Amino acid sequence: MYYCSMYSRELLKGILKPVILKLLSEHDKMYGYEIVQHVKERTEGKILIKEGSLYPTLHSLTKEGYLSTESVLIGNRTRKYYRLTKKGKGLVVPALNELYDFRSTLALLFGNEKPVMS
Amino acid sequence: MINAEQTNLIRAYLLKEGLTDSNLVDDLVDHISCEIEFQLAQNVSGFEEAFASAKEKILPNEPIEVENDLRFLTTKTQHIMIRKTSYIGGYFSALVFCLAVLFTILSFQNESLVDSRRESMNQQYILSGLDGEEISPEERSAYYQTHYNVTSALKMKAIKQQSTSQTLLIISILLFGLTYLPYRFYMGFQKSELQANSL
Repeated sequence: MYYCSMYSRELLKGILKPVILKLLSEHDKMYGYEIVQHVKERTEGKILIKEGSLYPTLHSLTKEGYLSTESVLIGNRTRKYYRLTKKGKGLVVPALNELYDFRSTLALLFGNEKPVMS
Repeated sequence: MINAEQTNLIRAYLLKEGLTDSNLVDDLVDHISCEIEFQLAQNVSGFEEAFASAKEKILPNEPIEVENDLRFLTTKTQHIMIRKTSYIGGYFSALVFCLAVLFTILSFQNESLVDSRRESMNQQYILSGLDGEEISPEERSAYYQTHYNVTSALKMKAIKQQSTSQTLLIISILLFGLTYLPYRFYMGFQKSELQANSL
């Protein structure tokens, strides 16, 4: 299981990259646990990112050159901070635009109001 | 904050579970440590209980699945490159194979043309003989010379085409064997490995 939240996995699949890019565009650098907690707080617990999907995505973005890492020693463990690279900063606006556009398209299909149970 | 010994316990747990990616292990050690520290700060439990709870919360499935997902995501580009290479190789292999078939057909056509010409000349010769007209050695020599000139060039062409066809066929087999075939085996291997891991 990748996510545990009030939304189904199918709905949340695919938004993790924009979520990470958006958060890192608002913060200078963040580490994994911080990202999870931040999403949890901002969505009032409606979206809980699972680590099983967070770290593969973070590593994938790093490998593709969109993120860079900075290791800091905390006690005897290493904490890795992730930050956007120049290439990553260039990806934020297109990724978010795509998401907003997708949201508008969905509204055309489903409307903006909740369906009433009959 | 949890101490060095406790951090080592977390790391040892992840390594025991089969994780080999040191970057991922560092991330998960820090993540689990943060969760344990959060729980300890709430005074809910001791380290052992907090560790068990963090494992349940953060890695409810097999921890190695995280590394498998990571490997899948980070090798996607490589897969695309392998796929492109194999498809281009496969395409050229098919193209070269078609050329080989074309040259074989041309070779057979020329062979049959040589046969039919020789047959027709022999018929002509026999018919001339049947008419009872004796031909001189010079005429006979001229006849064989013409026979040779007309058919041997065509025969040589057919042989060359056959040889080209064989070379192209070898190139086609090599291309197929070196590009597309390893890709099919690799994909089959990946699929069986994923199936084995999901069991």
